Amino acid sequence: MASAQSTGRAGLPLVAALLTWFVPGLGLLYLGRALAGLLTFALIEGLFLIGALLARGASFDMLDPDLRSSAAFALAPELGNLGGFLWQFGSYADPTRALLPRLFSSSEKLGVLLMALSGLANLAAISGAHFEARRQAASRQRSLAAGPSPALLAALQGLLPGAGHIAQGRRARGLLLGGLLLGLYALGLVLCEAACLERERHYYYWSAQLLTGLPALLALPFGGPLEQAIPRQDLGVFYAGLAGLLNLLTCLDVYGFQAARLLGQDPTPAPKPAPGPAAPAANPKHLVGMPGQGGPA
Amino acid sequence: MSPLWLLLAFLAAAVPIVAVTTCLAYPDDGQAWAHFPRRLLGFVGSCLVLGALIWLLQVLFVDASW
Repeated sequence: MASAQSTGRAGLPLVAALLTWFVPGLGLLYLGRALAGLLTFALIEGLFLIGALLARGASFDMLDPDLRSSAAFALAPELGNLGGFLWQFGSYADPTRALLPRLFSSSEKLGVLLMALSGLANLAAISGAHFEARRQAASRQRSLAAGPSPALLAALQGLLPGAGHIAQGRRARGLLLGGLLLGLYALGLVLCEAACLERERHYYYWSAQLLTGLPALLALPFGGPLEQAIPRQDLGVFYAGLAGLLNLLTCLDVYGFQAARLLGQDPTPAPKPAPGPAAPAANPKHLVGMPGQGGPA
Repeated sequence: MSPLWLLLAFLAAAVPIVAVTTCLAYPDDGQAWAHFPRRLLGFVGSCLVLGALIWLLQVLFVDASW
């Protein structure tokens, strides 16, 4: 495939993002960053392949049969790596096995986790390829500021709420949001007695709480019991899932701020004035001729 | 569930939701801080209106014997 750079044209951000979604690293290859593209491919697809081998493609078997539909897969983190997702589906799809819910072994759970992490890592790679295309196009017109990639900082924020903001120098915001989200996640874990950490039990909530990043990964070995009744389970899994989804929004905040900063735009633009009565003229008639008003002599 | 517990449970989710969305809307910390109380009141008010509407629909169409 001829890269955009070799043909002398700027790569399109949307094309770079879509190519990365299908095959991790392909978007960077399209933009002329061959080495970075190959490394991205090896890392993300390697993670997915190891996961699929460990889990024997079992991740979607964890979905309760009552909740299965063709649209249900859209909410799985594995979908972030579309190529891997389709390969897994084609290689392991077995309708008879999918109808038999069961408890999963620890190696299968680890495999499922690695596949999910591969999908999330590819989301960062997609946003990185998109920004790289924008950066290359902008650098043809003007010199740009140097700094860490917005995708890298957003991934850092995804790993630990507040860390991306702090790395940007927005310490107060990082500490406030990080404290709120980690507190909400901890409260959720306590209320649901860690039941949200079991994908067999809460397929969708598991995916949502995983977006909290490192705290969720560290908590995973302490997953709750599968059969025990838990009084405040609903509220707990809701809080834990909400913390993860809100952390995804904070990643957007980090990404947007850093992208604007590197592209030479104002990262904190002034809000648009509210619509109201027309502003007075700069040189009103009753001031004409007064000192300093620049009226006719 | 007592009303106080219900209020605390609601605020535990409402405050992070409004804080994150306000930060997303206002990249500048000063502006975000200035707009936070108004947005929190707006969120709580909207939830109250929605809750009242759901309760009213339940009374009119689910609990009603006609």
